Amino acid sequence: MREETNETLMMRFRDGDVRAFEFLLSRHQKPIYEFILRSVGPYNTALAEDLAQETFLRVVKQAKTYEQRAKFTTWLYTLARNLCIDNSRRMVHRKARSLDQPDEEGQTLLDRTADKGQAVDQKVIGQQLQTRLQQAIDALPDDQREVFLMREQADLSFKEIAEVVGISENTVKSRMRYALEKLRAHLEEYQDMARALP
Amino acid sequence: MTQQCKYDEQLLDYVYGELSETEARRFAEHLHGCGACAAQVASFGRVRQEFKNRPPVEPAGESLQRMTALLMQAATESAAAGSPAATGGGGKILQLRSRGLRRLLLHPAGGVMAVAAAALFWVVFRAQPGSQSDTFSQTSFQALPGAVSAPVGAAPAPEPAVPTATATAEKNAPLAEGTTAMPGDESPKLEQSAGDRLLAASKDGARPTKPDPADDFDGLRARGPAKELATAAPRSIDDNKPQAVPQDKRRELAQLLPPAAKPSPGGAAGSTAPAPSKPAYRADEPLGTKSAGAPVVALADQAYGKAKKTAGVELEPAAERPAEHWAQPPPPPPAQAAPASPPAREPARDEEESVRAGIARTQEQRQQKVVEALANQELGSLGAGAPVAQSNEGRYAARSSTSSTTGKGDSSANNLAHPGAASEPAAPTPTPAASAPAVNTLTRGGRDDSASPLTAVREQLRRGQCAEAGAALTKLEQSSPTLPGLTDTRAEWQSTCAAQLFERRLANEAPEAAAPARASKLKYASPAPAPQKSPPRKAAKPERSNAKAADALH
Repeated sequence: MREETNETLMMRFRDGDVRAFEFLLSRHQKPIYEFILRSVGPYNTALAEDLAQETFLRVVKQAKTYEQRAKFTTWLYTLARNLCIDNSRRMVHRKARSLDQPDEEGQTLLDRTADKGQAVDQKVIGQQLQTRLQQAIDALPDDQREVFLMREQADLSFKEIAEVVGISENTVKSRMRYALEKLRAHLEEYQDMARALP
Repeated sequence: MTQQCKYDEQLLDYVYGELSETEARRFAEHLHGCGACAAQVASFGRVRQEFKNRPPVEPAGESLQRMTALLMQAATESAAAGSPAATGGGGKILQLRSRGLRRLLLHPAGGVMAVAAAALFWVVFRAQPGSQSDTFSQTSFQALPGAVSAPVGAAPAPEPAVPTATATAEKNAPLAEGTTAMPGDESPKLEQSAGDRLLAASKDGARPTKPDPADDFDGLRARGPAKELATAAPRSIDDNKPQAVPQDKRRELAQLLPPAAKPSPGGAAGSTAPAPSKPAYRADEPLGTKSAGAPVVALADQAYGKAKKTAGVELEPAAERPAEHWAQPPPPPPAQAAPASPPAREPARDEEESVRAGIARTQEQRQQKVVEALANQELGSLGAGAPVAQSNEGRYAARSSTSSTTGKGDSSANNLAHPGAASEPAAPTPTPAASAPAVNTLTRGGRDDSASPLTAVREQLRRGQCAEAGAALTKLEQSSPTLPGLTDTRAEWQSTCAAQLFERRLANEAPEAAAPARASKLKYASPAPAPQKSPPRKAAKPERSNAKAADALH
C-alpha cells in the first residue's frame, strides 16, 4: 500500500478503507502544513495547524464525492489554498503582532526573552539568510507566492498549478519567473552583505 | 536580459526539469553559447537551493498527534456511516429535491389515505363479478382437495340434489332432445324461469335489473354459495341461459328419492310458499375459508339428508331468509326433494293459514255483533224486547221506508202511541231472559228463511205477546209487503190481539171515550195505508208512561 499512488489510496478510502487515508495523511500532512505555514506566514504555526487540519477534514468529508479526474495533490492543494485565501481575507483586519513573528533582525519576541546560549557566525549568517529568504517570500505578491510555493514546496508542475489556480500554464510560468527574480534580488543583496563581512 | 533569447521560454522548464530529454540537451548546448541564459539559470538555481536549505517546518509533536488522531477518528466515522447519500445527505432516507413532494409522501395522513384507497380499491375489486378474486377463488376451489368431494359437473350419479351443479356441467350443452321436465322437477323450470326473465328483459330492450345471484339458483335457495357455485362453474357458461337436466338423469334421480319427497304434479304450483322439500339451507361460508368445496358438498349432502354430517359449514334454515326472498315467483316443488330435510316452510304455511282463519272468525264475530247491536237498537226503539224477525236487507229497507214516511206519519209510532198497544196488561209480559233467545233466534234464523219472521210472529201470538207481534208485523208489512202469509198473520193478530187490546184500553181509559173514536184508532193498527193525520208525538209519552204503569199494576 505504501507504493500505491495517491489516487489509488484515495479511491480505497472512498470505499471505506481507513488505512488508506492513514497513508495519505502520512504522505501529505507535513507538506500541507508547511505550505500553509509559508502561505499564512512562517510564524503562524497555530493557524497553520488549524488550517492543515481543516484541509484534511475536508478531504474526509468530500471523499465520497471524489472522482479521479485530476491528481490528488492538485485537489489537496486546492483545498489548502482556498482555506489560506479565506484566512488571508479574514486577517486583513487583524493588526496584532504575533509573538512568533520575527523582527527586522530575524528574532522573535520569544527568542529575545529566551537565551539559547550560543551564537555561531555561520549559524547566524544562515539564519539571516533564511530570514531574508522568508522575508522575500512574504514580500511576494500572493499570486506569485502561491505559485512559487506550489512549485517549490508542493512540487507541483506548472500544469497542475495552472489547474489549481485556474489560470493558464504560461501565466503560471510568468508568475513563477517574477517570483524567482524578486527572490534572487533579495538573496544577492544578502550575499553582498555577507561578502562585506570580515 | 536586454536581449531576448529565443530559448528564454524554455528556461523555467529547463530549471524545473520539465523539458524533454532532447530539448534539455539542446537547451544545455544553448547555455554554452548564451551567457545571459546561463546566468539566469544559475541565479534561479541558487534561490531554489537556498529555499531547500531552509530548515524543515514541522508542527509540534503533540499538535501533530492530536491532529492525526482527530482526522483518523473523522475518517473512521465517515467510513462507518455507509452510503454516500447517508453521509452527504445528512441521513435522509429519500433524497427528494421537491420539498412539497417530500412532505406529501412523508406526511402521516398520506399513509392513512393510502390505506383507505387500498381498502376501497379492494372492495370495488371484490364487488366486480369478473374480478380476479373470483378467479382466484375458482382456482383455489379447483385446486383444493376439498373440491374433489363434490366436483362440479363431474359429480357422481347420486348427486341430483345439486341441480345447479349438474346443470352447470351441461350449461354449455344445448338443450337435449327428450329432456322434458319431470312432474314436479323444478330445478330446470326455475333456472329456465330465471333465465327467461332475463332473456325477456333483454329482448324487450328493458335493462334487466341486477340479477340476484340466488335467482339463478332458486332451486337451491342457496343465497350464500350461489356466487361460489357460479364461480365454480366454468366462466364461459352463460348463467342466464336456460338449463336442463337430461331426462335419464332425472329419472335416475327420481328413483333415488323416496315417494314421500316427490311432490304432486300440480301440487304446490300455485302456492306462495316454496316447496318444503327444496334444499332449505344455505352455506354462507365463502369458498376458501373453511373448505373450498364445502358449500357444494353441503348442498349435495343436505339434499340427501346428510347436511348435519357435513363438517365445517354453517347451514342456515331457509325460514330465516328475508321476506323479499320469497317475493320471487313461487317455484314448483322439486323432484329432488330431500326426505330428511326439515320442512322449513310447513310451519310457516300452517301459521299463515291459522292466522287467516282467525282473521275470518274475528270478522264473522264482529259482523254478528254489529247485526245484534243493530237489531237490539231497533228493538229498543220499537219496544221492550220486541223481536224483529227480518233480514238485514229488510230491516234497512224498513228503516229507509220509515224515514221516508216520517213526515207523513210513523205507523209504528202510531201503533205504539195507541193506548191499546201501550196498555197490554193481559198479555203475559215476556221476561228478558225469555225474549232474548227469541230475538237471537229470529235474527239469526231469519236471514235465509223469509217465512221464519211470520213463524216467529205466530209464536209470539201464541204466547200472547201482542205488542211485539204487532210491531213485527208492521215492520214486515213495511219491508216486504208481498211476503206470503203476511195478510193471514195480520188477520190472526187482529183476531187475537185486537179485542184484547181494545178491552184493556177500555178498562184503563176513561169511559167517556167514544166508541167511534176507539174504532177509528183501531184502524191505525191495521195494515191499511198510513192515516192522513198522525197524532202528535208528545201525546205518546204519557201513553207510554201509562202503559208502564199498567204493566206495573199487572
